Amino acid sequence: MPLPTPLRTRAKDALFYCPIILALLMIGFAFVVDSPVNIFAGFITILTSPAGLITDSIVVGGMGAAFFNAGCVLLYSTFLLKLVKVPFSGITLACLFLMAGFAMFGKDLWNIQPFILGGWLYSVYKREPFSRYIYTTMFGTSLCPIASEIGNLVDGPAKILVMLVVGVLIGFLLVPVAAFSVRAHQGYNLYNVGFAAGLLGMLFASLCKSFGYEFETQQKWSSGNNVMLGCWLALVFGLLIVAGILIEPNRKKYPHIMRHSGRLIADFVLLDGVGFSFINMGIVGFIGLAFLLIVGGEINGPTIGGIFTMCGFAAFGKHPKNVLPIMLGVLLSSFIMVHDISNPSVILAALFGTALAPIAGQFGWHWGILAGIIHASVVLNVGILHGWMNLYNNGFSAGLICIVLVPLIESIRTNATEERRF
Amino acid sequence: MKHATVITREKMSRILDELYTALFTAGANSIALNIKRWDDGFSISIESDYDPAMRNKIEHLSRFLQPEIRNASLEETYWALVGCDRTGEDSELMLVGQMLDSADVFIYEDRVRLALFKKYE
Repeated sequence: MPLPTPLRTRAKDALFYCPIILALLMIGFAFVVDSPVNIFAGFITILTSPAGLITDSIVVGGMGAAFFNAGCVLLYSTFLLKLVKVPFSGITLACLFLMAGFAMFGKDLWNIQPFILGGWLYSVYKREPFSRYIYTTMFGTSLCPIASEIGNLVDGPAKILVMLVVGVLIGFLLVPVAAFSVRAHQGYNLYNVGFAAGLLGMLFASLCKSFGYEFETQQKWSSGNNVMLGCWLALVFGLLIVAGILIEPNRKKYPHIMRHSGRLIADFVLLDGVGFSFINMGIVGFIGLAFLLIVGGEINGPTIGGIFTMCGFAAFGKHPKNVLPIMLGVLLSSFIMVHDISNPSVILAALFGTALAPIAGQFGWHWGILAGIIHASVVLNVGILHGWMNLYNNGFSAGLICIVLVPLIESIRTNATEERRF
Repeated sequence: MKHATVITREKMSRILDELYTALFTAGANSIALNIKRWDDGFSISIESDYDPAMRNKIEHLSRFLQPEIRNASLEETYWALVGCDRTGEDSELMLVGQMLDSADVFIYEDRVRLALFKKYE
């Protein structure tokens, strides 16, 4: 069993330049597929449009604007992390790839700002450096649609003020809720903030409904771009694997990364080194892409978000051995239940449901498949609780499943005497 | 300061839970613990024997407790996971390393000494 690889200077640099290069690839791709005028117009449309589930930015602003927005969000997030002097590791890659992915279907450069301000105010209130709360704050931008929805309750310039106040308030409240919610699922849900955001979103949505406001679901889902977007994604994942091979001299030991269950916190960069993490990210990204194409899904904003989130979290808990059973479970559910795999929500459930990968990693592939089957059902029914305003609906569902499933599995298995895995 | 000390104490108890379990897994039969409260934090001194055949586990422990980078945001979000799982994970020991402010690990032939420090929050 290899010891954690020391982070050499070149590898540390790679951690910073990886998201920068991805952002430049996104912005460059935007200008290849669209004209600057169209990109600018589409970008403004994205900034001013509602972002509830499921809103494909490619439909809202066009292909170029969607990629431009995602690239800008990624650049902004990367430099914000650098500004607050957070050391880059696996969680950084997970956070940044997630930010880029969700900027393809909901997040934009404008609607994430109140939440970041709220997280910063929380750090001021606690008299702690913002760097302590930066990840929770950035993950917490998942509730950005609710701020704009509540802002829509009023007219005129007050709309922006209401949106700001709600966003700041949620950003402020989410940090302690997320720190607590991790106890509920015991680290078996990789999207912990998604679970916390779901709980908080449920409260806000319930309050809004009590005042007579009804949330509207969106179904903006682009299609017909599989060849172009598939090639672009393959390029990104291929580059990650090549970078990993160049950084890691003992690349044949890559399978060792799969000894981890993936349960929080499995920061692969700290545990196994940058090179193995990059290789793993590329491979998991390819798995997400292959799954999507095999089941006949569309490569668009939301599915790119799902694949990017899988890829990012492949530096923070996911690997082929623990994601495949979950995806297989969701796929199997489509054969035995009423929902079809062609349903956009089910496809997203297969990609984002890999938040439950630690269940497969810890308890075995068969429990992973069961978790995937249950997730496909639960995720289709919990969105209504937060009015489809929590972009990490799958993280919310995964948290609820863990609360029920993990104690059941532990009670059935007699694993208390198992040797520790360190 | 009083509330902050309570939180630090709670974190300390979880860190100790994790370390005890790790040492017993490495074949320890006798563990001596000494905790001191200072103006700025707690110092922990642990001395333990271990099974020399499991020296690799102690070396792993040493590496996890002395990480190249300490990321305060990891501690802030995930510290509640330390010391609560029944099956055991190296990731939990890694988290312990992230929660400490300093750690020195001295490995001898069949004994190990840990000198740890955690500042008040």
